[in-house]
Amino acid sequence: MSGMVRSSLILAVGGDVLTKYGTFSRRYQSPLRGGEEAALRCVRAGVGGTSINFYNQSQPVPANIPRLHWAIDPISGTLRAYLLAEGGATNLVENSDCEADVVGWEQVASTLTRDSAFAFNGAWAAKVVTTNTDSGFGITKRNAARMAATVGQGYTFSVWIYGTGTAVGKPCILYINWFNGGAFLSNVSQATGGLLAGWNRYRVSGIAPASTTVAEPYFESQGAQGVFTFWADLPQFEATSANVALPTSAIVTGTAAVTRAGDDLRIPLPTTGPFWIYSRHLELGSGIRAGSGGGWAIGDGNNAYNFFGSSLNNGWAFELWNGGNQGSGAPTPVPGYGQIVETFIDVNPAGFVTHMQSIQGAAPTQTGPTAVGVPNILGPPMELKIGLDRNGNPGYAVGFSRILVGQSTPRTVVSLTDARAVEI
Amino acid sequence: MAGPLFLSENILNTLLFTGHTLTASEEAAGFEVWRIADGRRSEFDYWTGLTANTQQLITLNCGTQVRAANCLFLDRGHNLAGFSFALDVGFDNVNWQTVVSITLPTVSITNLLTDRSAGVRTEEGAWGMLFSSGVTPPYTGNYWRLRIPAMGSGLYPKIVGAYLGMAYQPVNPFLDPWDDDQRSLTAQRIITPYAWQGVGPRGRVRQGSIRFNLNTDGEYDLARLHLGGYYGDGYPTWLVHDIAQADRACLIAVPDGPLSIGFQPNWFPRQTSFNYLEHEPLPV
Repeated sequence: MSGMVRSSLILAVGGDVLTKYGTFSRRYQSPLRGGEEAALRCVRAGVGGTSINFYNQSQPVPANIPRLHWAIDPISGTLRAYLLAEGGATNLVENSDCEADVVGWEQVASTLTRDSAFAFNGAWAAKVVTTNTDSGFGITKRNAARMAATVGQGYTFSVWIYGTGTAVGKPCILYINWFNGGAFLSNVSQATGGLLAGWNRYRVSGIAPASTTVAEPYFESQGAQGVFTFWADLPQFEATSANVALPTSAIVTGTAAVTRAGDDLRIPLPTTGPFWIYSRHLELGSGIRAGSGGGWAIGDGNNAYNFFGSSLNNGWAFELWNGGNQGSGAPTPVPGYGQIVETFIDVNPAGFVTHMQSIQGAAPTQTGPTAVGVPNILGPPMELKIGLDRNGNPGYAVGFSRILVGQSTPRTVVSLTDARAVEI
Repeated sequence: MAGPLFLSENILNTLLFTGHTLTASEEAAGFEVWRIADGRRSEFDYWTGLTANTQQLITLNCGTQVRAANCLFLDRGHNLAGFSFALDVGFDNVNWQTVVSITLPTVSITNLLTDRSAGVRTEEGAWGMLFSSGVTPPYTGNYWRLRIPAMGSGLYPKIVGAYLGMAYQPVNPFLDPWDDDQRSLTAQRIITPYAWQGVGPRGRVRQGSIRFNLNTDGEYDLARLHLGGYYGDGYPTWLVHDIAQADRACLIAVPDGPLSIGFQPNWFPRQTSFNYLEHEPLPV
């Protein structure tokens, strides 16, 4: 009935906090008096971007506003709010929004027009009426030239497609053609397995082969599928990791390529610890790429608790860093795209650090307890960094349903299972 | 009985939420838009526009913060009954999502506060709606907008008070005894030596005591924020004893005396206990 006693809870951040308290972050044991405390605010430094709203539509988010991402929780099966944090990216597509025209969209055995019947972003999308065989569209720059690509670089093409009526279930395929000038080299492709109803994002990734100078992505029906209609919006062609490539959140463009800088979210902390920290996030790509930067960190570059993407295991890793590594872990298995990851760091006042990770609610993988070799002193500024590692490096994409920070005394929370039961 | 509700939080209040700014498409001198969130209920303290028969917008910019809300009240004294009214939310002051778009009811009948088609007109003419509850998450954004379409020739909208925020719905019902009609009549009286009684203007003040159980730490913290924090600090609060009879809702303020949101680790259920007094009741 009561859940785990959470008298040691200091701070809670994330989508769960927003839907309960009306704001992304909440500091405990500090009553609100005579106005809103600055310490309660979850502040984002970053340019404008997009997120997915409650209705599975693209939602423009201006600069410096924390991004709210709605998605089905893969464990509970319910729609849930997440605080989105991701690294920077550039959409090389020059006209992804179709709001003014469809210049740069190439008809491939189809009729492609700007249309407002369905739109994933804004009021307009590209309406595609297929003919029969291998029918769809390609994406070029506005001047019809193919987009530049660098040899050895990983690229991901993604696009939101609206399927309805007879289009649902039609096999389609995405592919990226690599060229040297006008000479075709090779391609990489990914079948959809059949269009889904409503707005869904499809993607394909590959590494530009030797001699590549330019590339063009396509989305087409796979073979002879007859005549059907679908809508496309926010295509994105971006340089991504060569390890495991996944698209970042959609970047809206109209006249030129647009770069979205990485998120930088920080919240002040009132005390120096030691802490226990628990986070629960929707895996959107950060943890399954090598050396991908931060999930979160507390402290400065030299004195910090750190949760970060690591090349040690191409997954998430933990560390307590006090001028050097005082205890770290790189647990396996590595999460998959769209899975729920729970992490826990406990720094025992007696001088031991323990890390735990659970994927999709499975039994936690534990590393430690490891003796802490130096005094457990975290460096100022005392703040929780979200989407960053201890050095301020952003990750790729994470959606936090909650991050909890608690003090280690009284020691009522000593395991991931304890922290999971703490009510916010 | 569908359960009680408190609306203590008002994100339109820029003194409480210091990073917020509130603007209107038009403001008449002496009837500025900040008046809708100043807590006053006088019929002479209201916002209105400058141009008759034109759409008016009241826009809240939450600054760098994303705010969620699930409940809206318009205090008595508004002149929107029978006219169109909308509440929108967005992230950029350009792309708006409609949260509420209705014609405000002209009569007060017993109704659910969760009725998305009309909301509820209270007995004294205020209007309210709980537009998301239960498993439906609250609406979110860093821009909120009250939108009042053109009302007709020669007409200006008038809003005395508006309250927008996250309502607090206790899990448990109020403990007995409680009475949503508990009240007293206030008036200045004079009794002559001959026993003639003179009575001045009368006020019917709703007041009483409320106690209910808090089953969990999570609910304790909600009660502490909304009742211990907002209400306890003197911000006017909408009290709905029963969401199914929201026409009896009243605006309350904290009276003198103690207010307790009891805390004892590992002891459940805890109880909260406090008194309430109607805020600026309507003269009878």
